[in-house]
Amino acid sequence: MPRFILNINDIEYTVEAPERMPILWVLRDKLNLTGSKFGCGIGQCGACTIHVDGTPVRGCCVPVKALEGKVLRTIEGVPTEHPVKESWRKLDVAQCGYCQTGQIMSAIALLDRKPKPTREEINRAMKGNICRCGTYKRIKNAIKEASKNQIA
Amino acid sequence: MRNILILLYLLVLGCKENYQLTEAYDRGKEVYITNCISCHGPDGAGNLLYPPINSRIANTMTLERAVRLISNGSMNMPSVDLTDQEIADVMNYIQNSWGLEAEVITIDSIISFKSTSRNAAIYP
Amino acid sequence: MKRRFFIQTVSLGSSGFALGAAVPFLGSNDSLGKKVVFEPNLLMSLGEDGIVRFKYTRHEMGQGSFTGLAMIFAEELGADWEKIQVSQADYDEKYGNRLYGNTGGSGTVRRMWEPLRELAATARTMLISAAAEKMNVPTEECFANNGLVIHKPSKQRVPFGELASLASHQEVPKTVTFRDVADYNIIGTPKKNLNQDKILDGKLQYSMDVVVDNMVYACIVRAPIMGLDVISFNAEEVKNIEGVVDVLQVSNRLKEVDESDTKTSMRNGVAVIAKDTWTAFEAAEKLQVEWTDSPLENGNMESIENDLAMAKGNSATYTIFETGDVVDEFKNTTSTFSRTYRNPFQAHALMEPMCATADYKKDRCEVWSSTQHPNRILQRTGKVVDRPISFFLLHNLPCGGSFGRRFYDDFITEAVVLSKMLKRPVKVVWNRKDEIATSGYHALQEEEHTVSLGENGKILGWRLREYMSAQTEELQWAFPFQIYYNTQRLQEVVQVPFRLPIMAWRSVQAHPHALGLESFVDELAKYLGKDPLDYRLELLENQIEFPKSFGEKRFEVNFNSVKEILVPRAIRVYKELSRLRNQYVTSNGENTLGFAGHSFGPTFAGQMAEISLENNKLQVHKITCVVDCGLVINPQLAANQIEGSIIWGLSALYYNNITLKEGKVEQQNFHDYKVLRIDKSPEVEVIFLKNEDAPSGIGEPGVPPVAPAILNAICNATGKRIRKLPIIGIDNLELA
Repeated sequence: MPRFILNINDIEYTVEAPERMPILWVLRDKLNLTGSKFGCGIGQCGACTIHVDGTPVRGCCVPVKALEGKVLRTIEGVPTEHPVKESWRKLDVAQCGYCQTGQIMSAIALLDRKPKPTREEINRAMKGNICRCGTYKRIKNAIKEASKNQIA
Repeated sequence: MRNILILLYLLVLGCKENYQLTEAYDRGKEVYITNCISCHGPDGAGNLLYPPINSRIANTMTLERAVRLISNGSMNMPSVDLTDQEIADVMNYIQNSWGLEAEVITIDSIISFKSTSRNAAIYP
Repeated sequence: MKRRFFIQTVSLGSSGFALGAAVPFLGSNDSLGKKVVFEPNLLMSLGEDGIVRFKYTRHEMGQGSFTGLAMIFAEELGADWEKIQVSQADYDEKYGNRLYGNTGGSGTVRRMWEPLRELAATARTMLISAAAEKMNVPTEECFANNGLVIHKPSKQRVPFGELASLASHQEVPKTVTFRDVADYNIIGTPKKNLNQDKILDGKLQYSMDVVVDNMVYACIVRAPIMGLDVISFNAEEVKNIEGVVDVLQVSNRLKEVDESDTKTSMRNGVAVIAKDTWTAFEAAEKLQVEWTDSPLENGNMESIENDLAMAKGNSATYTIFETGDVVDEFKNTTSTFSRTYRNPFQAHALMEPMCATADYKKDRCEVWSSTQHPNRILQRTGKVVDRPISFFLLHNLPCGGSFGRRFYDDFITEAVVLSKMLKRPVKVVWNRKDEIATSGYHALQEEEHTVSLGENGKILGWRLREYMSAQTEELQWAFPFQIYYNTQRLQEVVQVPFRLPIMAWRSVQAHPHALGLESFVDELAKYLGKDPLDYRLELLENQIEFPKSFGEKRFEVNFNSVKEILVPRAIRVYKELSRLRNQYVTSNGENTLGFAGHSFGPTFAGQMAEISLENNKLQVHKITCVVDCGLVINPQLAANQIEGSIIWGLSALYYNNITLKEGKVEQQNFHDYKVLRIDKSPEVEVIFLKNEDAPSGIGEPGVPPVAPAILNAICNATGKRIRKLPIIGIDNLELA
């Protein structure tokens, strides 16, 4: 089985996996990094969102082979005190919480690109993340809150 | 990518249609990041599992086919829940990135295509 | 406030409950090796460190009762909230149905309110007598608050931790007195979701995250139609795929064991066992299964339409209740008004697809999964493998949404059966398309309301006919169907033979009921030339005597609770909505308003929708929800539930529609079974009416009014009435 060297959260991992295996399953089943969640398998729900070179991608769609030499970040690599997590905590956003790690990864990437996103920009960036508990209102407010705090 | 954007700005300065394109391009890039980049990659080159869209194919694909693919999906691609504006924006981004160039697509052309298409009924 | 629940003294002997559960003993160790010295009941222990360890004996699925129950317990104990540690209890029959019953019907807080307070008050009384002994003062002069027992006259105080050992020697009281609501300092405050920190770091363990030594992963290709069986499959070809461990047929033996109840149990299928989830998924795609033929009735939407049309002429299969000769009234009047409303089949589409891990050994089977109804599930799973409930050790983990789906046993049975076959731990993971296409569904149902009208629009008789499948009947439980009793009423069911398995779904039957009733009342008001909101109040305030009995006693409808709790709550809610409407109109609001309200259990929720329809593009700007749910335990998390319910209701209104082709569900994933995304989520405001009655449930009441409120608003804006869910074309609305 092919062997890959991956840079995840500033740690170098060596894994054996089929080259077509999506990174989501490498993280979850091979490395026991289970913060990234499985929701749909076809890039429709965003529960598996991680960063590749700072860009948010759906881990269920990207094969491990495409990620050698890239810098990966998962929810486990985002500090607990990160302003986005702080604002999520402050507004008590999560209900069941299953989609929230993906939501947070999308939100962080958005604020990195656009530190002061408009309402439309928030919608455009967060539209790929489904939440069935229906926490959208708090997600929007938490992003605005984090945007303020990041700048301050 | 940024170079292309600057180039676009330079090329289009002062021209209304091109100004539209720059705006659409920026919005389209955001739509692309949210909905397309995971499978088709930051450079449009696809990955082991999904096909590239950075070749002339993307450029020559008829608007009709592209809109149908986005709205209805295919065997290999799920439909994507985009508004008409988002479809226009992301098409402008794809067709003007990675060394490609095309005329600006407006939201009106998407709407009119959908309403005049023989298959209007299948669009949401 | 007529029914005060506070400053209430309870005799524990009469319930025999707290006493039975109160077994103080000395000096055990908890799982962390901490010395526990005071363990007055099954849910609580107190160590000398002053930490109160509380066991949560329900299922946490995002509704927040993990936090809410702990708040109730801590409040009644007089504990310090910062010193409460909550953990999930594994299922154990020792808790009994009262402490570890099902989690559903928005009933966790409602059902645990009394028992938790009894247990906590018992423990508090023992702590107080321990403190009195220690300080050598009379018990009556002491009270507990914020983790301390305080001697009122001398203001001496002793922390709980110092009392732990002494408390365990106190006599168990025969009666306890509950704390006064005026003294509450935990209940009613916005405490943070106790799982929040773990969630944000990706550390909360869901069933999907379970890893057990030597475990294999299973993906099952299930019968596309319930009841089909496997004839053959290409086992050898799939076994040769790298990473595949085995390919096994799984059969539902429950049918042989218990013929009566197979509708929501596991489907027959073929399981691909692999070394990781993805390999199992991929190999399952390569599996080709030949299925037995199905006797297809109602396999297509066309035949369902036909059957519904046919059923219109049928007499009722059974009557739910009848308060007078309504049919006679129909014969005697020339003026009737009748409308029919349709709810489609809907899937759950919960974020975390179902998942269960089982390790079946000779003497015990350990299970890691998430279930709303452990007792029922283990009983049914046990039947399949011929083992009693006590054979299982169930770790009931928090789940990524359930909404009624995890009430059922199929996914847990699958894991248990496979682990037994393979003699090793197996994790069964459902793919998204399994969850959408081979599950159970919220019922397709039609609600036909007819009234006969006399002079001045007076309603003489009111009939509701409900067209639904036989299985839907099971879900009719416990709903006060209506709140309007202005006339003789008849409610009857006409069965239509749909074959799709039916399951509970957030707000269950209240959803089609509200769609029908709240659209109909609006239409009727307009027909009579009245204002719909005022008309509701008129109906509610002019009720006739409530029925004492009704039809066949199939359903527990407590008319007294309708009269004494729900109707007053509905009136309060609609009055508040009237006030909000006036405020909106006075402030020159530009959008069109629509209203609806409905009960769920004893909770009543009413909503005001603000919409606009420019060029037929529907925009819902804001929904304001007014709720009367009794005492609010945690305003932060309760508001979260209503906000989420509104999003759930909007998904149903805009998109949710499961359709059949040749008996099979056509939808597979989020692209063809759409749910609401952030760009269409409106502004939401939640208003809780102040009420100190016992808390009555918050997880579902926000759902039912959403669709009718918006449909009523659409009608106010356009004059056109939509009577079927989902609506078609949000951006270019198709108006009937």
